Amino acid sequence: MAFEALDDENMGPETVVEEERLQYVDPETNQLYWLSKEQWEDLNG
Amino acid sequence: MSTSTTKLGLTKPAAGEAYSRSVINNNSDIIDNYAINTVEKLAKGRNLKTLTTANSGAVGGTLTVINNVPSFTFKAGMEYTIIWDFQYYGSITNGYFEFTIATCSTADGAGVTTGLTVRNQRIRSVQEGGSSFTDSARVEAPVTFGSDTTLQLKFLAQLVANSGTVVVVADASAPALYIVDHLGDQI
Repeated sequence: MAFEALDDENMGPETVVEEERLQYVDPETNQLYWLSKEQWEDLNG
Repeated sequence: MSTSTTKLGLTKPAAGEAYSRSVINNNSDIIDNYAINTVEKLAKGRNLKTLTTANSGAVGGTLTVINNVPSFTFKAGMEYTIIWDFQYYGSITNGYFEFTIATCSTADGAGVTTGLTVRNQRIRSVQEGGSSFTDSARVEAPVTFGSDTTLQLKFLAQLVANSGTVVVVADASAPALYIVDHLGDQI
C-alpha cells in the first residue's frame, strides 16, 4: 500500500511513504511520468 | 403485389413479381441510412483506460499536471465522459485542493499548464486542522464536439488556498484510473 498506517482518529495516514518524485516527459511520446530522484537522474544524466 | 418489411420498410416482391435494380438500390439506401442513424450512434464503450501505479510528486500552490493522454480523437456528435478516479494524501490547514480535467493541443508539452480548456473540476476542502489526511476523489467531465476533434487530455492538481501539499497516491493494488467512455448519441 502507498500508506504505511492509518490514524484511528482521523482515518488518515499516520505516516506516509514520502519520496521525492520528479516529472519526466518522454520526448518521443509526450507522455508524462513521475519518477524517483534516482530514476530521473539516470534519464537526465 | 409487393409488400413492406415491418421495421425498415424494405420492399418485398410478391411471388412471380419482377424485382428490379431500382428496388434493390432503394432497399440498400434504406438499410444504409438506418445504419447511420442508429448503429453508428450506439455507445462504443470504454475507449481508453490507463492505470498508473506510482505516486505523483508533492503538489502545492502551483497548478501541476499529474498525468496526461498525449492524443485522443473525439468523434463528431458523440457524447464522452472523461473520468479520473484516484486516492490522494493531503496536508493542509483551512484551504482546499482543486482537481481538474482539461484538454489542450496535442502539440503542447505534457507538463505545460497553459493553453488549457477546463472540462470539469472538483474541490476537496479542509476546514481546520492541518494534519495529514487521505481521501479518494473522482472527477468526471462530459464532452462532445460537432466535428472529429483530436486533443491532449490533462489531469491536474493544485492547492488553491493556504499552505500544504497534495500527492496523488497509487500502487499496484490501488492504481489511479484515467478513463474515456463513449456514450454514443441520441437515436
